[in-house]
Amino acid sequence: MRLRPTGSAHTGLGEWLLQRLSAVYMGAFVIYLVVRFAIDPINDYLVWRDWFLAGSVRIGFALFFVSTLIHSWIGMRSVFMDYLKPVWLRFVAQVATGTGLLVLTLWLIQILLPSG
Amino acid sequence: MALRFRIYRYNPESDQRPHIQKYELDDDCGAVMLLDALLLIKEQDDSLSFRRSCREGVCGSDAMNINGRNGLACIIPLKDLKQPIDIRPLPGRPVIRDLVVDLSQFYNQYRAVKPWLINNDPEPEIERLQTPHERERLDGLYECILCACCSTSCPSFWWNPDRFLGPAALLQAWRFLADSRDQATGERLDDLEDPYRLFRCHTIMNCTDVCPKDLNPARAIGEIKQMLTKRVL
Repeated sequence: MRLRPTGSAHTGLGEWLLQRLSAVYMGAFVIYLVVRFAIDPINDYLVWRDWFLAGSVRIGFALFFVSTLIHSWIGMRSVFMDYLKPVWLRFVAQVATGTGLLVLTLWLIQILLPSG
Repeated sequence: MALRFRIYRYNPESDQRPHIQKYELDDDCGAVMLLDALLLIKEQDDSLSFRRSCREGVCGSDAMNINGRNGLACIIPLKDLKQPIDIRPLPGRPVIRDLVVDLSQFYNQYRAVKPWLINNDPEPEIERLQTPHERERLDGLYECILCACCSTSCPSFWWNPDRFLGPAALLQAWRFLADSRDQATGERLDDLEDPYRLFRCHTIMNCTDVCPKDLNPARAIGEIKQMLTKRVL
């Protein structure tokens, strides 16, 4: 039987792919937003709210923020792996980043779920 | 006008710390390439240590950092260099003495990619044949002379020389992945899937920029990533 080195032996490719896919989605979505507001700017809060609460727009934003969270997690982890050598320091940095991103995720759910 | 040099000097056995020593040569000393000049300087001061062998860019021994850029002293014309010429050892490697560095880790990483053909078929009477197209795929890969210019200019290799294979070893990994006669593609790819060995590469491309043989390790790394991606799709 082939033995692999211990640890997350397979995650390199998965993370690399996810980082690229999330980047592509974020890029495409930003272009969509810029074009959309260039063609039809919204100046009224109620119109803005109706537009935002439409199912497809909300899903679009949800995917965008999920991509941002994934992208920043992989990116920050990558920076820690490169530069932080002491394991305890890397652990603290990753836990802090993870907690921060978790808070953002919960906040995001609050914003995106229809209220009341 | 004289040719001016500022050369890194360090003997770990006697020096507390490295220092820069200045040297001068007459303009008409006859040196054409940087290595010629270094050999003349060594006649002035025989304590100066550096490696050299073939003096024509084939052996890769005289790789060093010249005016901030890795290269082979034997194929860099003096007239192309801004003065004073700063000469330092390859960055990021332990210095044995002056411009001589310890490349053990670099060679270990090279060895780790199993840089030989793995083929379990019985050996044919004459040779394992390839089509001209299959052979063409190895161009730009087999020419590597292992001078370490690329790996020692790679920041990812500076930070993780023990875990990241580095561009030179990865170029060789691709050289055997791309070889139609090799039968260990799966195992070779398995070995590159973890977060460190291949994926510490952030496409900085210093490797391709400095390669004295004009090879393109960054593209080879991209090809490996593509091959890994195709395998999971």
